[in-house]
Amino acid sequence: MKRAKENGRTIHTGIVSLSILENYMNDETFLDERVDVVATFGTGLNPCVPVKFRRSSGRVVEITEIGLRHPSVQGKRILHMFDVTDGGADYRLELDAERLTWRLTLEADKS
Amino acid sequence: MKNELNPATPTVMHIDLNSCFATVEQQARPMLRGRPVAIVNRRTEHTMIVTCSYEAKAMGVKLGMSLKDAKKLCPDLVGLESDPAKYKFVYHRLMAIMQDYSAHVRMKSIDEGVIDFSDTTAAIAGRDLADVGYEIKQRLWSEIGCAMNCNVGIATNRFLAKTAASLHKPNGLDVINHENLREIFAGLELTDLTGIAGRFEKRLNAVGIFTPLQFLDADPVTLKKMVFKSVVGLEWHQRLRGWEVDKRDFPIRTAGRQYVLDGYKMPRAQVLQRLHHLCEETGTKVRSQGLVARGVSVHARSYTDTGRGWGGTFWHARAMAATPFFSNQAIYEQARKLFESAPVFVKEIGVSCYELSEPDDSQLHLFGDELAKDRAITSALDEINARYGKRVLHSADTLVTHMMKEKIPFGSTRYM
Repeated sequence: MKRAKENGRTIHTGIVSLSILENYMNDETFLDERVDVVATFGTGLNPCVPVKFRRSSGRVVEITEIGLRHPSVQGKRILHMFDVTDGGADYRLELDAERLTWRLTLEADKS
Repeated sequence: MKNELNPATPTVMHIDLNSCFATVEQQARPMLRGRPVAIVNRRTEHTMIVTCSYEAKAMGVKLGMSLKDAKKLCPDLVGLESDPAKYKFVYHRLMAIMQDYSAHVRMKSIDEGVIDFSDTTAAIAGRDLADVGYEIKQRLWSEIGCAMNCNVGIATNRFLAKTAASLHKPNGLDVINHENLREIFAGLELTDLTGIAGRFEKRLNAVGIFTPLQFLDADPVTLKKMVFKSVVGLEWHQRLRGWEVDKRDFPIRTAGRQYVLDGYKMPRAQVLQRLHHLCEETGTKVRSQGLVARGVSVHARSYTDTGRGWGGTFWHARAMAATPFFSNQAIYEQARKLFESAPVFVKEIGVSCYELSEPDDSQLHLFGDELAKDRAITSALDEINARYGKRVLHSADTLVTHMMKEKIPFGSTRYM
């Protein structure tokens, strides 16, 4: 497992692990994990709706609510951030609109 | 000057998102709803809280408190690092909703804005503005999320509309008109009025004004000559009566950024790298508004031995250039020279450009070729960064300053 420090937070790549990053901050784990996602594409303000995703460990997470979807513009490249929950933990999924790839970048449980 | 209360139908609507950043985080992360949440700009225990949720406020957590102290008051407090991209998205969604009702929308900051219906009453087809306010609340829920709440205030001017929006937090909607103005003022403190705090409160107290009602009934000459000592006193006299005196835009005067260093014993070379980074961001801000600058100002908060222990002092220096400038390097060169006289131990540094103006290309410059070359290089750099992302190209000197992330733009929304 690789770890990188940025602005006081630890980014985990590869195998997922949970750890308390700082005593005073929330128990968030920052990840950079490719995931398989089942999503629906429809109409309206939020046409893309991720329904469930499978993590590299094989665990399938069923999404019960999308908290917020917002774009993150990096030059002309756009990432769509989906803050979602399965009712037990919060996750952030990132859809790269150029490469059409999904990544799981954050996990935070209610501890 | 009008002495009576404004009897007109209220047409100004103030919309204020409740504890904006904390609410947006609770919207994004359902597991945080109903829990005390504090937003900070850095993941350290000494960092200051920039905003907190109502649950945290109920436990005594206040803005400006360190996260460490707040945890003592509220052990369950969840500290989160600010995420400007989320807040910008909500800001743009809120603005889009407001612009559906009128072209006269003015965002006051990232979390509040004003719709002025005075020139566009036909656009809402004679609807009661309270209905429009409830509809906007409903749209916030349906278009952003169910955790999003806002306060709505409706009145005849911007000041009273903002006052109305603060009456029933969170998620209130209030109307102030000439019929209920005195009744509402009777329930407020002087410091509940936006713009009255500290110094002005003491000045009002000095002439026997202790309540908003006494302020309302004060003689305009007293306000002008004894309290505010300028025409501002007359503006307050009108403002409190519901007459509009705040419908104006101010031109951009300065652009800059400041940064709190990790420690006050940082080597000067590292401090200069951070100053360079601030100069690059300042240059980008100036150019994004199509402006050039004539002056650079730098400041530092330092820690020096006062003879009775270590104390903080504020140092600043400024200089005007003979010709306008706009490039990051030009700003940094001047800032670096000014910083040579800065104190040794500094905890906070800042840089800003002033005397901003539109570029005047009509006048021939002695060094025209140099300026044209500088402009061409700077434009090319800005174009590449706009295409591939912020700070894709920057000075090699600032390769190590990646921790100086973008902060939440309080106040001005020019750079949103």
